[in-house]
Amino acid sequence: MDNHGVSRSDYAQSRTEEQKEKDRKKLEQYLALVSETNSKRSENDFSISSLELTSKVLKMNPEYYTMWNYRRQILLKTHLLSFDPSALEDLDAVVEATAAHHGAVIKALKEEQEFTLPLLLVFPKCYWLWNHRLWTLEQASVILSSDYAARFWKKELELVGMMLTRDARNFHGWMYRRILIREVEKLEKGSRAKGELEYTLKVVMGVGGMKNYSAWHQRSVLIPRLLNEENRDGQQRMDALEDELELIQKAITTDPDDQSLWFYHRFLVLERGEGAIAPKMPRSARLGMMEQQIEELKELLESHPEQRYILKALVLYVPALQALRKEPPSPDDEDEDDEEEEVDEAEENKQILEWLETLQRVDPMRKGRYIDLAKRIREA
Amino acid sequence: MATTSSRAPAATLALHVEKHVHYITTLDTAKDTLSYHLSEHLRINGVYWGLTALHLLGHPEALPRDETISFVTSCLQPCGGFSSAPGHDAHLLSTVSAVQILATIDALDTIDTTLVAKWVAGLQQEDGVFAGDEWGETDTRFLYGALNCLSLLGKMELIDVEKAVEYVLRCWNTDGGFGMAPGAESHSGQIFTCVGALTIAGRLGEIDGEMLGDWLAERQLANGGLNGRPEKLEDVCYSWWVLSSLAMIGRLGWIDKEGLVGFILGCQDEKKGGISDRPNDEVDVFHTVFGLAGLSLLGYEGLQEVDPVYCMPRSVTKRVLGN
Repeated sequence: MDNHGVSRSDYAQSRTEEQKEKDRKKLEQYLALVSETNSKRSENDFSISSLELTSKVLKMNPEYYTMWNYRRQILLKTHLLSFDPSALEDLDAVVEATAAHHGAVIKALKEEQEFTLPLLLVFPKCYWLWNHRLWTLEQASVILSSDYAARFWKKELELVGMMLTRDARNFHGWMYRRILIREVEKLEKGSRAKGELEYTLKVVMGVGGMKNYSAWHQRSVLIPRLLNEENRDGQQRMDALEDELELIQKAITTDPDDQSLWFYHRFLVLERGEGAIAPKMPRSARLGMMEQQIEELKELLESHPEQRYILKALVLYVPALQALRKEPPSPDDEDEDDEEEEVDEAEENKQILEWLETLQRVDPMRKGRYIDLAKRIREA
Repeated sequence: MATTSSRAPAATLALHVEKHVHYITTLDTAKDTLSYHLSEHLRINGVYWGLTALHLLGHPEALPRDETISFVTSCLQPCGGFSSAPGHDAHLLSTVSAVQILATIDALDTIDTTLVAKWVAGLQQEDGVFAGDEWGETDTRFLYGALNCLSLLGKMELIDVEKAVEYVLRCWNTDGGFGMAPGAESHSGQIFTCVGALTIAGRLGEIDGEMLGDWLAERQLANGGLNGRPEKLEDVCYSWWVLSSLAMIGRLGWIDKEGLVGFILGCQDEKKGGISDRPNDEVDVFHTVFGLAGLSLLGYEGLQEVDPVYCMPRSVTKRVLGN
């Protein structure tokens, strides 16, 4: 019902008589299994044998969300049943029973993760699977003491690292990683932002990593967070911004056709809100940074005169620079009294319009966008 | 993975209306196949996709109304939520489809809308987002779904719209797009849900359409199709998420419409009907409806007008919402 990337000829070929016979057998087996499991479910049977039935169904069809629900109901009423030792009088018996229960929960949770792992490798985009693994981890946090729970969450980090090695753009994986980190941070009572930032650097510096929009996005979120956590001052933030600009400039010069790089570049140059690396950068420093970036792009344009991403960056950055010039100096601007160089804005606008003309020609698909921009420049 | 074919000129391709109607109306006859049963968790969504496709094709009568009502009501669970098929558990995604189907065939009076709306409203969490069911998975998909069906049921007052909007805005990224949760990367599917939710809540004015429109327009690839995220392959369903979002923020003109029409038409199976994710891939009803909805939004002749916020016939949302 929802085919992605299945070729018509593959599909047609798979319908040979032999395949059809195999399918028929599989269908019979599946329907019998589903029927048996559902009859147990309708009888509110929460036994271990029913748990095993759900395993069989889910191995054949991990999208069967009702089966995951049933499985969780069974787990909560069996292996994960809350344990109340208050009925035991003898303290030694309490100690023994508590330890045994603790051990059994750890074993059950571990087995649950082992059950879903091979499925996840085959169905890495199945929402229900990621969701069930997360639920299992949450049970660890609810039932176990924090040091034991932390082990489960940290072990899961290894898994997600492996999943992201297999597909570095799986957004389930990146999302899951953020959730794991948040929980580990809670359990360890400490930030992992620095380690995660190093991880994103490792990803982008790896083979093909420069194209990894997911990793660049993650960097754009982590750097401001880390700077806030470490109470960095304005200068340190500007230094961090400069380091990032240097990193991305190198990447852009190597491959200006890579779209992911340009989104990150734009974030560094234009973002000024709370999510920026240096949100309170003084106006004079910001002017300098933007002018320098624009100069470097113009230089790059000389060797790639029709490169649309360079042109696009310029038609967005130059108007932003013009707007910034018109802003009053920041209170902490050192060169507040310095005379700023006179700029011929009309000349700049003429150049922007020329770039937009080129863009319409080299990127006709987005012509409407460039016409709108040109209209705004002319009306300004 | 299929190779990307070169761009097909729209003018040489036609829309195979009759073939698509036949493809959709015979979907339910494949009951002896494994894939039919393996996809039971999507049955009610499948009815919504097929029904909407038929309405857009101008054949609303092709699915018998009585049978549709009886199937949908058989999925209503005592809690007030709908399941994907009889015997499955209630879930928000199936509930949204159920409400959309009943609204489309003007049969909302066959269910206790207050019961359904209360179940949906009860899924809202402290931070404004919605869970998919009692097990608690949260996602902007569910938030949009809740607003979609509650607005169709006329019961928006049951939820904290302000908190929902605040949550959506927390998912807004510096690149202009939206992710599935705060801090998550921009993704076309999630952009559709967030922009749709803001539109339903009447709060679209809170975001900058300029950056978002730019991000969305960059999804179009050389063959005219659109992808879901940077550096990904084009796909008919992503073409819809992107296109409808561009429509909601009033920037449909920022992509090459003709190129996209050609891409979608090129994904048709000319022999048996239906539309696939990419040219020459196997078709399914999911890509069929989103392909047709895309063509409708692009003004393709002969199709009924689609509502970009709900992916339902515009005539239906006008009747139900009164605007």
